[in-house]
Amino acid sequence: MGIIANTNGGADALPLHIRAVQSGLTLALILVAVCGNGAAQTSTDAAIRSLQSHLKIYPQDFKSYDALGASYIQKGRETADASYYEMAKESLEKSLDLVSSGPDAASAKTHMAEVAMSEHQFEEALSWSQEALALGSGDPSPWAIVGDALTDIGEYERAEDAYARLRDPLHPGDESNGLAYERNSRMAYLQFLKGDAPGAIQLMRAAIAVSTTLHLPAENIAWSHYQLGEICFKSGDLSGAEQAYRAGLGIDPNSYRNLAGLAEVRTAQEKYPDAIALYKKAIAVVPYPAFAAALYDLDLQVGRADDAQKQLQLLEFISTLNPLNERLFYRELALFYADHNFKLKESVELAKKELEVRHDIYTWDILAWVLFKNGSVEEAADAAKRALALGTKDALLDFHAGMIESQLGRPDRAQSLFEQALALDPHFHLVYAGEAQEKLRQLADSETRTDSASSANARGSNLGGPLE
Amino acid sequence: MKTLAIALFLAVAASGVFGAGEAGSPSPAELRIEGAQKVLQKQPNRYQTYSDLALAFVRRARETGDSSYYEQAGAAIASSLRIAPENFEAQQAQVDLLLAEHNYRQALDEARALNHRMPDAVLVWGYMAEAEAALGDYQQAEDAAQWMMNLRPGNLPAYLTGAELRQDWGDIDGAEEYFSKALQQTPPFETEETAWILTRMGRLLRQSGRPDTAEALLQKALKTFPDYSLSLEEMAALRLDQRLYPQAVELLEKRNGSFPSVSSRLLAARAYAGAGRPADAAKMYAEFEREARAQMGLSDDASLDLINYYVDYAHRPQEALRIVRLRIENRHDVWTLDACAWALYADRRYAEADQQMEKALAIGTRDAVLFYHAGAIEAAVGKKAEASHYLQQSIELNPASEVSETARRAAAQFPARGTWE
Repeated sequence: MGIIANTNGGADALPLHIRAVQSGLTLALILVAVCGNGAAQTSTDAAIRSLQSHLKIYPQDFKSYDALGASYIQKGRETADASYYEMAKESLEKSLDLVSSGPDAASAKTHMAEVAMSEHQFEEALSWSQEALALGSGDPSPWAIVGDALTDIGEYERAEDAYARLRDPLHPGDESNGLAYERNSRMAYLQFLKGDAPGAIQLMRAAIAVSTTLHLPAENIAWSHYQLGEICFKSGDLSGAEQAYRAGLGIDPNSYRNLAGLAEVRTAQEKYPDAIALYKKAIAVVPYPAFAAALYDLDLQVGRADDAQKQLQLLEFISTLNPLNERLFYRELALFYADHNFKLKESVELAKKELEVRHDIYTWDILAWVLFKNGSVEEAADAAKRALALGTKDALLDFHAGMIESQLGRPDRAQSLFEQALALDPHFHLVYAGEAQEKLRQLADSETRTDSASSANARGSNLGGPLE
Repeated sequence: MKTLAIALFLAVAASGVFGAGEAGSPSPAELRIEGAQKVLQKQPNRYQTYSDLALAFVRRARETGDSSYYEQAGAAIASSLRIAPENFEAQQAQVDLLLAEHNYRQALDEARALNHRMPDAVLVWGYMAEAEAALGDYQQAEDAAQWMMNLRPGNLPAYLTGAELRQDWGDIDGAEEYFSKALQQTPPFETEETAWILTRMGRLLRQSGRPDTAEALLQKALKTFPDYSLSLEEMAALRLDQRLYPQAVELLEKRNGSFPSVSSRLLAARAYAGAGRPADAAKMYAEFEREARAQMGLSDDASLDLINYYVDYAHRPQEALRIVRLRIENRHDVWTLDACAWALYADRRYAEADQQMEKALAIGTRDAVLFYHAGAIEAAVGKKAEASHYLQQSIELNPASEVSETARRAAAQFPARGTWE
């Protein structure tokens, strides 16, 4: 049973929010990382070379073209280099040119769905995975991509239905196979979105146990630990998060997601030099805009404005390296611009572009935030309502919504949201955790003043009695 | 267990995941046709898409009963082959089209050539199995179906092929099990495929004397893919078994409103006759005969209905035998052998009929009409115990079959089984 790499819960689905650290990273280093020079040769590289050689001799072997496509997808996951997805697509198209009907074509179509997911073409991913399912191969794996696409489209109930179908039809009760891993790891994310962090953690732990037993590729196991770490971190469990990220790094020392996750923990612990070092390591593996954004904030936090400026240039450079990157990072860029109060109009455009294809709660959250920053508070409130619709326990969502409510003059609601954010995770954000506390203080002061004024009015009323 | 599987499927299907069967929404085949045509507008030389389009047209023909889609499928295949001669997918689509048109011999020859070229293509094994079973080569069909399962355990076409074969062999429980598994594998958005499987399953259960479950499945099929011609036709067959003739007429008039088939016309004629409308019945029988004769050269299956019609209704056994001879040259499946035996019986050539029936029964098929024919033939050759046995089997298997009353009357002429032994 093929293991379908989960693209949904990666840096996209559970975004790494901006943390502040210092960075000495140069553009040259980034370019080296982007181009892949010096990258370690992995078993994926070996598989790619072997399949390429095989296909030179057997150019009609559709299964090998499919396998080559799958290897490029894996390489894309390992390096976050979007050009691998294009190579995957080319190879998969060749496979489908040879055989595109019947159960034999299901695997290539499923991999096409994965590529579409990786490129944030969610409707296309849905279409490919449904085509794969219609071929009746007996492998329910395409349901994973159906669920992933529906999750990003914001159709959570249908996504859950799709994930529930990830069972071996011959052994539906088997909880130790690859399908159980695919189901549990994805259901964990949905549980988290629904506000059930303990349930999500339980499912993710089950998924990790299966991934280890099945000896899945190191990158997949490391990704699973990262997912667990993210849920723990967002639930305010820094120790659990650290443990998970460390476990991921134990499996794959180059796991950039776990390096960045650990950097988040260090930032929350105010161990800035450690956080900076970890982000640098992560960026050396994969220069994600979110990592550069985090370093930008850290540079500012420690008073290195010049370095921060470099991170800013770097972030924009990576995000616009090619048209695909630009599309992949709409959300990250929009959030970054809004957080730092520049290019605010562009931030709205980016968020709206993202909303054209993605309607999950995090896209609504970012739209709410950029609209708020642009002064469209009523519209922001509508978007924030959608972001909170599932009852997700994510402090940043609460903080954004709290700021909007505060601006709308609804102090009770704002107070409740700020309290909720801090109760969930007192260190949820380098800057905003403190801002939430400050807002609560202001609201309390305002309440005191209002109480005093009310008492005075009451007294005045009482003293003066009815006016007429 | 199998009943549980059906119940489970009905419960899951009832959840309405993916908006299956939404009125006014394009059918799965229409979506595929539209998708392929869009691609071809941009890339007119993409031979692969022509093959996809051909398969979609074949499926659309099944969805609507409109055989003109086969011509469009043929044209798409020709386009594909013009751009890339010998391309595997187009040749595979060609076999799919031949099977849809019931040209089994040619389909088998072409499928075998493809199998030689790509021995691990699951679908090609399925095409071979379907053609071999239709032609009566059950052992080869079984081998091919087993290859399908071995190459890719649990694949949907293998379950469907296996279900049909098990039904032919008389393993009704086994067929039901495979249909259930196929249903569980079919994604809910594949509404026509789901309805098709439900209809096949409904037919299996009706023929094996479980009308209530058959009805539930057929209702579900019609909900999943509204006004589906095959489901309407099967529901009408159920109503005929239930002697609910006016309801059968209503269903068949609806079904025959567009692209009536040879078999749906024959059913309608029976329904009119049962409902006490002899003029309508006569008119429909005439229409059926005309259409079936016109199609005889095009499709093997029209001839089967025609043989039975000439034996049971028109009482022209010589004409039935003439058509049997044409058919049996190519095919030795259970229904051809049964039709041959029945035509010989009608022509009072009882010993020959007995020989043919023996061959038909050797396959193992369990069917009330087949058993009734066997009983009547055995009675005619004086094998009273065997006659009693088969007549009882016919009644027990499906107490409400179209021949059940005749079978009961015939069975009453014989003492209970055992007296003769």
